[in-house]
Amino acid sequence: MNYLFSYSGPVSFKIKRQLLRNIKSGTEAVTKSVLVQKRIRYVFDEIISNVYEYYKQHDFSNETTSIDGYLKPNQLEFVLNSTLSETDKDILKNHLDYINALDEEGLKNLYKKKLEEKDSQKATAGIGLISIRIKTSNTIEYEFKKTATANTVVLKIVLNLDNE
Amino acid sequence: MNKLILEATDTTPKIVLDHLENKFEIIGEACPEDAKLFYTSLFTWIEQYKNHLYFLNDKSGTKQNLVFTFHLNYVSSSALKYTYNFLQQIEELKPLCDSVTIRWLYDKEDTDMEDDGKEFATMVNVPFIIEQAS
Repeated sequence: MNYLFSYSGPVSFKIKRQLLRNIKSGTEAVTKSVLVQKRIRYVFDEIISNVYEYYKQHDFSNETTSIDGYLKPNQLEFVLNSTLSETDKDILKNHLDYINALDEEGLKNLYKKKLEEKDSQKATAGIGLISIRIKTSNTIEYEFKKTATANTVVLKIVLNLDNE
Repeated sequence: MNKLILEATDTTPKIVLDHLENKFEIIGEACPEDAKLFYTSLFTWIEQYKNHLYFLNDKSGTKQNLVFTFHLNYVSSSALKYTYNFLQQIEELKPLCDSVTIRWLYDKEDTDMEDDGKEFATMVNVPFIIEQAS
């Protein structure tokens, strides 16, 4: 398996920042397209930021997260495995099912609606996955898992590397 | 009131909100740890500027032509939300000025940032000039 990146461990802002720096330099080896380089960084940033914010809110700072980037022909596959509270499982499932069912226009309308929401905190919570859907044009696959110690969610996001 | 000048970091853009030089620019990468906290200083400044313009108009009767330049080469989704809120605040300056314009610059090939500018232009009632940065 050809990895662009692979990380497993806790997520703090400092770690997030370092990972983003690594990603930024790594993307130049994968594609010459500035747009795709930015999209790789953007998807990674949104995934890891979501985890960071979620862990902060739920006091999960000691939980381990893994995020891998697999290089495939003309594609980069992001796979995230992170802890999720049992009570948030249905909320996330419903949100993902909803945005996965939307076409490009529907996604853009929802994105715009989120930007216009008065409650900025609430709006920013859901906007990351919507923007990932828009930038990748692909659905977000998910799977919920239960281990002896935690509930986790696995997200799989595919980004096309051929620019369009 | 004071001007607001913040140097760029690897997670925050350079901010120049200088009413004395009539120069208003946001340039760089916007992915701060706490977007709300970072943008609060901008919101506070623009509220003060609104009051400043109000008293200036009252005193001298002259109105300004303002151009706010945004050249963001990377914006996280949370920062984008607050950028929109900032644009809304810029819109509120309109009654106090002769003209207010947003100049939205994007890097070559960065159609995502160009699209964000086009989207904002439909959401905020201020003329937008959207162009590729030279």
